[in-house]
Amino acid sequence: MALPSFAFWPESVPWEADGSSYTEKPQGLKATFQPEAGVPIERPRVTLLAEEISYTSRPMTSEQFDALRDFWRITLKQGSLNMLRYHPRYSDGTIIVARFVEPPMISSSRGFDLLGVGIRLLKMPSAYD
Amino acid sequence: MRPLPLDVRRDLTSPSNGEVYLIACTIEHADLTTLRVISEGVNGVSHWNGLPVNYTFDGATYLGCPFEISLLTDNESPPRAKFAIFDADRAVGRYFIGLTQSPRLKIEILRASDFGAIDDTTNARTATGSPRRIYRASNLRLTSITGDPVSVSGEIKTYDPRSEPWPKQRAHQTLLPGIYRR
Repeated sequence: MALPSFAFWPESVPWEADGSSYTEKPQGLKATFQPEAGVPIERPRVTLLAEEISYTSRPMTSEQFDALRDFWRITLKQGSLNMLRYHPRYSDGTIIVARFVEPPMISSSRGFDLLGVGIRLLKMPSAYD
Repeated sequence: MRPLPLDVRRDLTSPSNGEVYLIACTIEHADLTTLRVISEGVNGVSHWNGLPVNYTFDGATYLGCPFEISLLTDNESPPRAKFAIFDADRAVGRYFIGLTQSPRLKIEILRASDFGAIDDTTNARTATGSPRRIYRASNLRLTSITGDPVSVSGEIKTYDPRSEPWPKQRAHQTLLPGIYRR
């Protein structure tokens, strides 16, 4: 099986979601026509859907956050390239192909030098799943 | 009027329809290799393993690439439509640069259900048999091509018989010098 190789999430940076912050939903890509009366006419627009994943990471240090930001900025060309990483919902090492929707952002401070970082990803369908 | 098969028309107006329609474009020019692109609906593309999904049928691979296209007009004037293709890496734009004659274009609409699973080697779905063409328009010309950093757009036209010179031959002095002799 020839799978594309993308940069892998930095090993030193936590990839797990923190508590109840995790959300995941498929992109809603339906073609919809709303008649004046009656139910909407709908059909899918694409054959495969990406999924939007959003979570706050487990607390990371400033050093880990800097590594993640450099990964987004330099390795992933400001987040425009795909990456490989572990699925934040599974602990069995499931690998996914994903892309940052927006830069990683500090969303909260968890005590001295511990940061909660907001991550928003687009998970692509792949044979890795 | 260009007829759509009755079952397709019924599917399109059904409140729930699971079909994805594919728009395949073949762009040909005598000086260039043929460019084949396919969009899932208008301006749609799916990704598998982080790469666009391609489609293979009739021995050719169509590259998955989102583009906008309108159906050809169907009135008393020659058919016309607009075409715009995503071109962030400028590959399509380079394809058209320097052409003195407009390339030929063929549009086909197919159903995704006529294709099998994705092959990881080619990132392509292959047609199971010969896929049915729901709509086909050929012998079109892509003209007035313009580009910007992210897209290339153009106008789709057919041959306009009204532009045919008439009469085809005129009795001018070069062609018939004898009748101009003094």
